[in-house]
Amino acid sequence: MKNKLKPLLTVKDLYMHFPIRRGLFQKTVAHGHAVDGVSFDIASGETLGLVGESGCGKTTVGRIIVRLQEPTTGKVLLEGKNVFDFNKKKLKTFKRNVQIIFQDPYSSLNPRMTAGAIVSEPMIIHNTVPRNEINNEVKKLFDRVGLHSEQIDRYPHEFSGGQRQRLSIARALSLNPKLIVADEPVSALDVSIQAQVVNLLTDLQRDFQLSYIFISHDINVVGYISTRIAVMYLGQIMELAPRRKILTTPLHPYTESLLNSVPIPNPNIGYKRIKRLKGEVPSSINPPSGCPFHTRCPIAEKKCSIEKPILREIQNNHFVACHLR
Amino acid sequence: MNKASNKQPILSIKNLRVIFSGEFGEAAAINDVSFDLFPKETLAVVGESGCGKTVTALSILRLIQSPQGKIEKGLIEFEGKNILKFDTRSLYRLRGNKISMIFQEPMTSLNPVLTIGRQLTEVLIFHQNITEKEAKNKTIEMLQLVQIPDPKNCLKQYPHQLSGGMRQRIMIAMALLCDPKVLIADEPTTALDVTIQAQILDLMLEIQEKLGTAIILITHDLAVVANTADRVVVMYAGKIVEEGKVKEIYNNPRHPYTHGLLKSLPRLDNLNENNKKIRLTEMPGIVPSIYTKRIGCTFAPRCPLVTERCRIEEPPFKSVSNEHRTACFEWENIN
Repeated sequence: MKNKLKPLLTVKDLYMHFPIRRGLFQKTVAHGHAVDGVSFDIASGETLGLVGESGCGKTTVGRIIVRLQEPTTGKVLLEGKNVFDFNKKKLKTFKRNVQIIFQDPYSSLNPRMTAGAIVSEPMIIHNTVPRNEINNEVKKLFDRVGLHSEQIDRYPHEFSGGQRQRLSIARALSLNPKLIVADEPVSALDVSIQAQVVNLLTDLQRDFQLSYIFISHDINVVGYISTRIAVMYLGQIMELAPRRKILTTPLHPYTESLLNSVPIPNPNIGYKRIKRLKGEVPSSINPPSGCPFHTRCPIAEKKCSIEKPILREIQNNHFVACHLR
Repeated sequence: MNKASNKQPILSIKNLRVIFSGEFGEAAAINDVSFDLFPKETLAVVGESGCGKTVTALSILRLIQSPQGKIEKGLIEFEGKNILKFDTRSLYRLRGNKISMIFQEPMTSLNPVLTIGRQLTEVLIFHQNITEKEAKNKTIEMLQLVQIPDPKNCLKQYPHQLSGGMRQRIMIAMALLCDPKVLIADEPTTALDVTIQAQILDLMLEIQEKLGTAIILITHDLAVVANTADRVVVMYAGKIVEEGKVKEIYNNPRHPYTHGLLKSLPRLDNLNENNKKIRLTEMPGIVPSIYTKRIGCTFAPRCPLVTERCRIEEPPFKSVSNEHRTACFEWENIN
């Protein structure tokens, strides 16, 4: 079932190379390949999970989508229009439609602003709500994300981690966005609080037809919340498929090893000490030639170190970047 | 398997109470904590942030910062001696030798200006009466055991030249150099990627099989516990709420907190057929601050099974079956 509807957001051939500068004159000596040719699209009301180990480029992709960073090359299309061509006015509309929630609820809220001011600021800047109704709107948002309206005048430090993340969610929701990029939104939270926030995000999606790009290193959480999952490695998507296919019948050897490494909270199963990945993620400054995974791949062949596999549709809606599948 | 019944514990903690004093007055970070560690076993101490698991670990090595923190009450018995009565010299002889510790952040626990070789051999030279050369050889052997590629070269390197996973291997090597009886691992894999976490956990278990070290594994990750530990102690707000064998606790939790924690995990092992999402069970509220005054059960405000009695009276920590103990009045009503 390919998305017959027009996708909400399309990411096309995204590349992000950081210059590495050394020496007295800050000469560029190499490039870090943070994102190396990433393409996907996302439909309305869908959750796309971006999962991968640290340094795989998942956060950079998220930041490029909300235009916090300019890519080296590539396009991001929101409803068919390239967001990097937008003028100031259009950009403002774009920002209304696409919002981001950050990992760290401690550093992503201004400590000198009250909770109410944090949530109302976007509405004031974008002039979406008449001034005299803003207070009312803030109360509604607080209520929606499970905060008490008495907390409106409190400062961020008076909230717990989970509540702060609720506040970030309220701020993101204040402009009625179509897409929210959630960058590790529950990673800093305790298990019992994590479930509260995951459930809240699920409810909001249902109520507001939101799309999420859910970025996380935690495969358990991504596996739970996503409609489709993209597995990233060294700046590239290795596999992209509906959630269930990724979790039960992964085709890429990296996805398979990754899933084998995830400990399962069930002592009756026992830790599968098989198919462990050897070694570590190579540096993105001089990524391996050919397939970036070939240095750790259990089934790599000669071809893999020479030719870079492209992401192709192997089964219906199941994309894999591997020569051998 | 019947470790508890026929063996003497190697480490025994009894009624431990640690208080911290700050601007809000005094508060107990842990209160009435008791557990035993048996030789060759892995005991997991699990709980959310602020539950007192790290304080418990630090108390064992007497690393609680004074004067803010103080071990007010209790007994920590190691090989029949009370660690709380040790003088500084005996403590030096204990730490890193008989009992050693691995910390969560391997970067901040290694000295950035000394080579790996210097930091590792130092441990041996301090604790054992051996020459530098012997120490070096032993260090290389240990680095091989923790699967560091090219150990000789590694000795000359500085911590920043190594990756997070490699640094954690160094920490494990350092902790094991003197062949300790007890290894305390405080969130040893939390800062690592999942494929590296799997490698490190495998390594710890392999080494335990080889050397027979007893491990106290401190973690918030219930999945890691399920796959590595023999027994588990669940802590909540400074107290132990449940203790037992891992399988028993996971299959048959007898405290609503443990039950709730296990239910709130998104998990991949029970994907149902029609791909429908089962809503995660939420535990309402948050962990109480250690400064809140409390009467009755500390979990009562968040507990789904709470009764009037729970709010007034503190439930005793008692046995519900063989080696399974819980601090709950309503334990029979958990399904």
